[in-house]
Amino acid sequence: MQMQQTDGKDDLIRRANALIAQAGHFRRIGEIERTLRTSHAALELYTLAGDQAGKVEALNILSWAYQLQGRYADALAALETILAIIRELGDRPAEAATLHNIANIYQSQGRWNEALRLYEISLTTTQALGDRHAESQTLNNLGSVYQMQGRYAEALVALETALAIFRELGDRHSEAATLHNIANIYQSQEQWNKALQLYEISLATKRDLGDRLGEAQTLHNLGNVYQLQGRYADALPALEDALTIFHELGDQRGEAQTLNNLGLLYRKQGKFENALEALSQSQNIFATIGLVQQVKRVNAVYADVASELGKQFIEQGRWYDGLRLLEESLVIYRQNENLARRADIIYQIARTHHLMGNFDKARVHYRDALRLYHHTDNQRGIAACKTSLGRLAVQMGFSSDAVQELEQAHQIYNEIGDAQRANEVEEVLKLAGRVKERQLA
Amino acid sequence: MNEADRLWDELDATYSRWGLTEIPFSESASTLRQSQLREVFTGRTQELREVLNLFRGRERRRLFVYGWVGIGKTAFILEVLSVLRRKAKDTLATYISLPPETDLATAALIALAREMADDEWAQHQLSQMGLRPRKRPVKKKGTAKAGISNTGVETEEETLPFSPPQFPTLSFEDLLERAYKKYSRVVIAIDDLDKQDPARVRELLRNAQGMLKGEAWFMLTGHPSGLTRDILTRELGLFDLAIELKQLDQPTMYRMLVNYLNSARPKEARRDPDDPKAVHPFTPETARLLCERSDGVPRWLNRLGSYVLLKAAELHADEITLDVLQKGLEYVNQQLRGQTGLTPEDYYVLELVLEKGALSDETVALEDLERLKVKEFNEIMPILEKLVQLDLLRRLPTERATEYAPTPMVSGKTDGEAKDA
Repeated sequence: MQMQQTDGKDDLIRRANALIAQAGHFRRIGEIERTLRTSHAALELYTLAGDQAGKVEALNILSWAYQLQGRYADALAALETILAIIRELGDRPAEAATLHNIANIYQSQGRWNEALRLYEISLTTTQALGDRHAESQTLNNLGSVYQMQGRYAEALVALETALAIFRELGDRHSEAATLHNIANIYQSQEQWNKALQLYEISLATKRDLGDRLGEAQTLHNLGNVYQLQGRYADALPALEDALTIFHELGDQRGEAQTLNNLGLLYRKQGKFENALEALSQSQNIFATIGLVQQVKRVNAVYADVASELGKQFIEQGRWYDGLRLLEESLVIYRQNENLARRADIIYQIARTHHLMGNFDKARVHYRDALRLYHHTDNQRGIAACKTSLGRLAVQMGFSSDAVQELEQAHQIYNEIGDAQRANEVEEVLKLAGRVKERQLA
Repeated sequence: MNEADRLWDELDATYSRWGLTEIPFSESASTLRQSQLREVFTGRTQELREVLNLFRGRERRRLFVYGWVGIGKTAFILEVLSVLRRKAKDTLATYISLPPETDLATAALIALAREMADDEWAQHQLSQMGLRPRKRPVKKKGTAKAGISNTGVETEEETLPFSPPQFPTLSFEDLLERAYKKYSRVVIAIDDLDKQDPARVRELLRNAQGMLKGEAWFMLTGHPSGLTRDILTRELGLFDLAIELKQLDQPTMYRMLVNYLNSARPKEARRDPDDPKAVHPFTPETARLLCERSDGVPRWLNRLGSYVLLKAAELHADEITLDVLQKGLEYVNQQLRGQTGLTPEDYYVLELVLEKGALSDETVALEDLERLKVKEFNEIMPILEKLVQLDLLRRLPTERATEYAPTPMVSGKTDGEAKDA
């Protein structure tokens, strides 16, 4: 009986080990879904067999996959379980590695200070244990956090140190990742050529090693540098290739980020409709994986692009399409406190209704914009609203109201020194005056 | 006799003393039967003359009837349709209240199909849209039942699958063509355009231009706000005649009250406004006050009349004296403010309007809006319009601003609150 149980347990562990080997392979080639499936199956077998070390291994791989999918809560839960097991086992190197991984999640969530604190604890432990590989990995990530905080010099020191250790150890995979991170710093410092050179080296190594996830990440950043340089024709294929790989690998965060950058690229190229499509997809994915801040950020860009396209449509006489987009962007601007932008959009909506002959709606929107311009003390905005309200009043036959609004607009344009606008208003004032005279006659 | 029976008899006695069989008032003309509408419809002589005159001509016309909520647009077009049905030869006259999220062609198709009960294709159209046909189209299945005498063909009903019309304008045109084989004139009234956003209505009208300018006569109703002016002046000359229904004068309102009360009298009618009994259980004085409070708006007369009678019945009043009327008006206020479907946001907006006396896009301050957790007047307009539909607010007839004020039926505090205060 005892023998049978042992045999059963050994069999479970054997099967779990085979699965973990597969999961490791999928992880190396960046196949996230398959990594998840196999490591999850391995975890179940290790749990049945009561193999704590195996559980730790499976949970580690799982947390990596969760992180890439943006499932940070799941990833953190897995790592907290690992931490509890290894603390019980008294395995200090593993504890340092786990703290490193938890810090990594915080880093992905933008919780920089918490990430730094854990990386530093992890670094002290790995240095004390003489684990150079772990030390260099932590240095690499520390460098990335410093970069996000704008501490570029400290970041470069950490990354150069990590790079030297990886080269010494012959770890080409980590070397390529670190080169990518150093290039990233140059990119932040707008040293485009240096950044491009290192990204290219990193990309070649990753391709050589079959590291598809790394390849996608570097392509994504390359695309961004090209975009920043205004090399849109080069940027597009790089981002599109990155998108394809992220999608294939199931890396939703990478996919959403790349779609966002594609949206920005299309916007710069004036391809607003493509931009809206890409941004919309990006928002949806970020929302699915629960990255609220990113959703807000993409949403804000979406609103800007929608309003730009809306204005373009209106200029082309596509009033209904234009209005729909302006109203869509207004809904987004209402969710944030950018009252200046909100006032501008409301003014645009008013202007469109005015053009369409929706006088009531135009008037309500002009007055809404006017209140916000007053609130933000935007004199030019106030004058524009008053001019438009004056024109509207002329069209509706309220000449006295028109004169009053236009005189105020005229005065403001004079005060802010915009002679051209003041002259334009003066012309409308003359017209309003003539209408008034006719009405009085 | 149990308690419920006793109460019923008690009410019977009260209504009997009043000389009424029931409360005659109705909030919407569309719920009245044709005969009832004929009995209570009052005034609008000039407007009717203008519209009916057009129907003496051969040329197809498009009419637009506009006016504020509750002013009697529905009653007006139903009255016109009723006259046409009774007096105009070979005229098919049909009515529909525009359903939400529906284009005008689909609405016209439904209205027409409903009126063509004997047309199988029309009924099939209704059935396909998931609407109840006037005569249900039935699939027939021949199932011979061997060995049983007196059976020939057995009929089984099958539910037909729902699918909205793919080409509503074309389907409408086809149906219209079939209608013109039997009738020489088809009049379609589409009501309640004002229940939709004016910009949306304009889009609907623009999309329906072809149909509106086609073979049928159309009567549409809507708001007198920006929409109307634009339709008349800009929207491609879509309408041949636009009739504005304004508030009725006090004598007409008084006559309307007499007509409503008479419509529920089992015995001889008393239609002479100078006869004090014509307004019983109201006294001439309380009847006049009720009409004044209605401010020339038929729906408000109906609302007020209905609630005042309910309160008077509760008080077992033989007559609606000044005191009973006062209690009735307080009851109206309570009932209107306690309507179902009002959200906390609706109440905040209502309280602000009551506090300010009137609220407009011109005078509202940012601080007022921020109290409502918004920054634009435009954001509270859907709520203001909802409160108008519920007779809590009215839109003031000014073109200088979009301005709302409480209706004469609503006051700042309900009776209970006033006592607490």
